[in-house]
Amino acid sequence: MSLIAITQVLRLRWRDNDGAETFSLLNIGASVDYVSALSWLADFYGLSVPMSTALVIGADLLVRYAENTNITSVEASDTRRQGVFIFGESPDGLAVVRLPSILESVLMTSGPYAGIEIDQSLPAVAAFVAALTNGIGGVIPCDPMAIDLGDLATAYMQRVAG
Amino acid sequence: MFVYPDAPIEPGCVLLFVPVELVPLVGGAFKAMEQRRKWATQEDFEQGYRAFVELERQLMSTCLQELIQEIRDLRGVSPAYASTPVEERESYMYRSVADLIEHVNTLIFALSGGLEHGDNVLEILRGDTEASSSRNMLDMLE
Repeated sequence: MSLIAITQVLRLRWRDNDGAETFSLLNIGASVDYVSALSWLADFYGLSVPMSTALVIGADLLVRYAENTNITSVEASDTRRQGVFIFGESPDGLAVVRLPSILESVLMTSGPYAGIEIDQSLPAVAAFVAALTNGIGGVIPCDPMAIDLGDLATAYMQRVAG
Repeated sequence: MFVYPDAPIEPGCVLLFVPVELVPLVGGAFKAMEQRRKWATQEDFEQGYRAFVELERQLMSTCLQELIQEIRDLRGVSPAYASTPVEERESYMYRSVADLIEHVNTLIFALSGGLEHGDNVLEILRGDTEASSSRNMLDMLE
């Protein structure tokens, strides 16, 4: 298994007067540098808007990698069973990071939340949490409001709709 | 798309009892509200995101814990365990309500000679409470 770089995607998100949304996509090469890619995104926006009555409500540059081999996930995997790591402090600083198909073996086996709560004492869990809290290489992940994630508040398993 | 509603003048909340086995499903149902596209504006999203992640957190740390702590604060910690950190305290480390009532009755007898007492007794008790650095059952007399 290996991930390889594939084309970057310039994505504009559109909304019409009924609230319906759609995307328009434009591929550029995987090797195009960051500044040039962002410049193209601005141009894509500027060239597209005059020809549409819908509104652009978002613009994304997607730097993409994809698996290069034909793989099959193990039978027990289920992306709807998600590990939920909630960071920050209540009530105004919480943020969530999700990990699909969380291993059943990382869930607590005893206590009031047996089979639900994630065991934070396990090395893999502790390493994951520490990296998100403290950062790697001087970069600390943040929430959607650009605030550092902070300490872990709780971690448990959720089942989301398909 | 949702607009984050204005809070009422007098804030309130609803206490739900969620069976533990439903926590994964109930929490998962909130996931959609973490998405920007569910909200009309960035401000709505920021408020909504925080609010729904807080609900997801509460599923693992119910407000019952906070209520229990409020009750413990009301009872007041027993002097013998005053130096024990709050997070390490057990229920027995707090004074019992029965003991507090007995204590108050003793005070009333001492100050007035019986349960038929004058208003000044309450004032004396209130003064005693205000001199204390911790909240306890005596606060209820105010």
